[in-house]
Amino acid sequence: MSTTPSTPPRRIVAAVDLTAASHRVCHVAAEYARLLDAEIVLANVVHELASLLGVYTAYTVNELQESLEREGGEKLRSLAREHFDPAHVPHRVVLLVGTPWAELLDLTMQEDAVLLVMGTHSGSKPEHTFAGSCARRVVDNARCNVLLVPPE
Amino acid sequence: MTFASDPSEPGTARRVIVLTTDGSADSLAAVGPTAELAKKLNARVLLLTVVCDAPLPESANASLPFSTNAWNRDVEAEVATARQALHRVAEGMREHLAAEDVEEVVLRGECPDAVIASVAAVRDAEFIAMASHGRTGLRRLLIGSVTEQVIRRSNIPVIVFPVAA
Repeated sequence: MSTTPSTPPRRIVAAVDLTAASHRVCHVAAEYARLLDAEIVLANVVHELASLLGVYTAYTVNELQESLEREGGEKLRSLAREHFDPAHVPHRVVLLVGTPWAELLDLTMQEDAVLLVMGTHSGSKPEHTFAGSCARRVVDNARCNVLLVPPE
Repeated sequence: MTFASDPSEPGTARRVIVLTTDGSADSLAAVGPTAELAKKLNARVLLLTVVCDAPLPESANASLPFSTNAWNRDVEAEVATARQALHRVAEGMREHLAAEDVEEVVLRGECPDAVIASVAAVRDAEFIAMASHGRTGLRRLLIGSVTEQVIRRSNIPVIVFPVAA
C-alpha cells in the first residue's frame, strides 16, 4: 500500500495584545482560517520585565513576570475558547516573552505562516497610532502577508 | 470584517476587495496574492490608482530663489499613463478572474491615502490590499508612506504584501 506524504497545514499567526481589540483580530483570523483551510497560532508576547530597569513594584521582578505570563496564558486560552471552534478552526496558543515585534516575526518564520493577523492599535490614543507601534515594525520587516485589523 | 455567510455560496452578495497600485513594479507585488484571495472569497476586485495632484504652495514660489514652474506636472498625462498601466494589471487579473469581476478606477486627489480609504468605505470593501512599498517607499527599510497612511486612516482591515528583496 502506497502512502502519499501529507501536506503540512497552512498556518495563520494571530497576534493579540489581550486588549478589547483582540476580539476583532481573533474573529477575522478565524474567518481566514476557514477560508484558507489553515490552522491558527494565537500568540501574545509578554514584555521581559527584567529589561525594564527602574520600574517600581511591590513584587519582585520574577514574581511579576510569572504573574504576567500566567495571566496572559489564561487570557489567551479564554480568547481561543471564545472564537475558535476546535471542530472547524484548529488552533493552539503560544505565549512568548521578549520584544513583541521581534518575537512575532520570529514566530511567523518558525511556523512558516502564510498570514499574520494583528491589530493596528488598541485604542484611539495618539500613542497607540500605527507609526512607531509594534504593527509598524512588523510590517516593515515581515516576509509574510500581514493583515492589519483596526479596532471597531 | 464579517462574513455573514459563506462567501463562496452562490447567491451571496459579492464582496469587494480594493487593490491599490501606483503602477510601480514594487506595488505589483500585491496583484497575484489578491487575485488568489479574490477567488477564494468569490470577491470582485476594484483596482485603484490615485494620481496625486497636490499643487505646490504658491508661497513656495515666493520663498525660493528660483522658479518652480519647471516642477509643474502634467497631471492629465499622468492620469492617462496610470490608466494604461492599470489596464495592463487588470488584463493580467482577468486571466484568473472573470472579466466583469475586475474593475479599473483611476482617480486624482491631493491626498491619495484619503481617496483610497474613502473609495473602500463607499464600496463597502472587505479589505484594502496593497504592497508594502510603492513608488515612493524606501525599499527594504521602511514601509511606504502611502501604505502607512492608508493603514492609519482605514476603518477596514488592510492586507500588506511584502515586496521581494
